[in-house]
Formats: sequence, C-alpha cells, structure tokens
Amino acid sequence: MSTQPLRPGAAGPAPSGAQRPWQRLLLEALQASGCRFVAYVPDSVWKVFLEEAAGWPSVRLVPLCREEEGIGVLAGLFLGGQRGVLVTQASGVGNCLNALGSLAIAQRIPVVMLVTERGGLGETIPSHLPFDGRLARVLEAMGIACYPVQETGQLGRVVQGAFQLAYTCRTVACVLVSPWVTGPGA
Amino acid sequence: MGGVDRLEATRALVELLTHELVVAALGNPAYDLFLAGDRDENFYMWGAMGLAGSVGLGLALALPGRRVVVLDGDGAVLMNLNALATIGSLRPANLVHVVWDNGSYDLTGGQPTAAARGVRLAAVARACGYDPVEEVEDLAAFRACMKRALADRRGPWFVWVRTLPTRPREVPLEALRRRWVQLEPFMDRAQGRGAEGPLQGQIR
Repeated sequence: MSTQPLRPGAAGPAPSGAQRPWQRLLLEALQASGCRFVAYVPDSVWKVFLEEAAGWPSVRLVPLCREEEGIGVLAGLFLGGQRGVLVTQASGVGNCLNALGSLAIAQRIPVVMLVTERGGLGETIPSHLPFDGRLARVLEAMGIACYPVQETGQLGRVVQGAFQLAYTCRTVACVLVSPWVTGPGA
Repeated sequence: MGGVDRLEATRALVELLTHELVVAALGNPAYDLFLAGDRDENFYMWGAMGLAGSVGLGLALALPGRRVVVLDGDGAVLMNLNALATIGSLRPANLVHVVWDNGSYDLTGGQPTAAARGVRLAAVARACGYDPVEEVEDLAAFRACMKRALADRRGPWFVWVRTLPTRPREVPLEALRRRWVQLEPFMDRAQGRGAEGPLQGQIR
C-alpha cells in the first residue's frame, strides 16, 4: 500500500487506475456520486481511508457508536437533500438489519453501504465467520442486493453505480469490498 | 408528582412551530403529532425504534440553517442509548431532542421501562454533551421551554418531559399510512421547494 498522502491532485498526473490506492479511488467515486457524508464505525481495513477522508474537502465524517445509527443518519441526510454512505465491516451490517428493514425498505429511503468483507480464505478469527462471507446471503433474504468488488479497478464504477441505483430507484445497495482490494484486516 | 398529557403537549408545540422540521418516533409520538397537527414538515417514523434521534441528526447535518425537532419516547431512547452519545458528541446546534418519558412501553401493554426503575435520561443526555438540558413536568413549563429552544441558536437541546400514561384515542392509521410512504411533501419543505418558494432565515 502506498505511503503517499492521498490528497486530491497531490500526486501529479494520475497513474493507471489499477495502480492507484483504492482509498483514493473510493474518495473520488464518492465525490463523483455527490456523496458528502461518510458515517462510519471503524474497521482496521478502513483506517487509512478514514484518515484520508478526514482531509478530503468534499467529505464530512460522521463517527457513530453503532452501525444502526447510520441508517437513521443516512435517512435524515436524504430527506434533507444530501447523500451519505455507511462505512462498516460486515459484522456491523448485522447491527443494522432491523433499521434496514423497518426504515430504509419500509419507507423507501436510499442507503448505500460500503462493507469490508472478512471471513473468507485465510481468516483466523472465528467470530468473523457468521456475517463475513455470508453477508450477501443474509441481505438477499431481505431483498437487498450486494455488489462485490474483487479488483481495485472495479471499485469506482461499482460505487458510482450503487449510488445511481440507490438514489434513483430509492433502494438499498451494499458494496462488498473484498480483501483482494483492501488487503487483510488486522 | 407532576406529568404532562403527551397529546396536549404536542398540540402546544405545534402551535409554536413555523417552518421547523419535526421527526416523530414510531408509535405514540408519531400518532400524537399527526393528531395534534399534520403538516408537510412532519416526518413520521414507521419502525426503526430508537433511530428518531439519528434521523434528526442526519437532517440537522444536511440543513444546518434549519431547526430540527425530534419527538422521542423513553422506551425508544433506551433501545439505542448510544445514539445520545453520537448526537451529544457531534453537537449539532440546530437539533432539539424532546423525550416524552412515561416510564412505560404504552403501546405494548404498559410494561415498565428502565426509566421507571430510575434511569434518568436527562442526566444521560447531559453526560453525553447535550446542552442545554431541561427537565419539565407541567404544560406551562414545556411551552416556555420549547419557545426558548425553537428561538435559540445553541444546541443540541435535550428536553425531558415527564408524561402521563397515554389516554385512549382514535389513531387514524389509514391516513398516517399515506404519510409514512409519501416522503416528497416533507422533502420539498425541508429542501425549500414547493408553492411557498425557497425558505430563508428559518432560525428566528
């Protein structure tokens, strides 16, 4: 992972998409999607992204105590004419299920979640298994579609597509970011 | 021990409102707001118990020039006490969080909440960073408190209100059903669209 500061324009001419840090690609995709608020509960995988987002001029961080609050915050932002995203690890989506069902789905409020996946090949912590790797199936049972990102080069398009889908069709979209993109969590 | 009838208090609040946005928690706070005075600036929650404050936070962040009032209940707040920590620590100055506290889950048969066993929600809110925090137990005090909260530029306000057990009343669920799913009137008013044109200087 690059140790370069990820400021807009700081790195000069952009190298090809696949070589650029995924955190920057994501911030650019959020900006292009009109997303100005990042509500989050941290994950080690999100550490650098959150640090860079704090310095990104078009983004305001909204630190939460529990992921479920993020569904409410995103609903309020939407009602007020703004777009936000919920950034969390997969287990955190487990804390959101009732809010997704009884607020976002029931009242047709758009929600985009950016979720780091764990619990696949090479996982060493059993507590990550119930949600991670199986999250897509849990959400599918609720009628929520997941969009996996396996390669860094796909990240921007998937995120922008998720925003377009969620905010025009007033639905929930979950972007699952694979460890193949982010590197392993701690 | 005093106490306020929640529907009467909600009526008193609605009389004070102009363009403020109001988010009402599911169940009784939403029913009473609808009965007290349906307006486009009301958002009625249908579910997501404990998230009315979080919806209010999102609105307050999206519209920093707009006063946002949340009508909540003790049972709902206790279900997501963490949301008080988030709101109190982020300190949205335009948010007014009202909590009706009758110490019971009225909608499910009146079982006591932890508030009935001594949890003081105003003290929790104060510890989380809400400022000002007011505790009122009669209608006149509530009206005076809300007058100040709506006119203030500070916040987040926390207004704890001791309320009486819910009086039986007819809840027009079919009419509310439309308001639950038709969000455009609220969004138009929140975002300054609609017949009256863009709103300016909403904080008086």
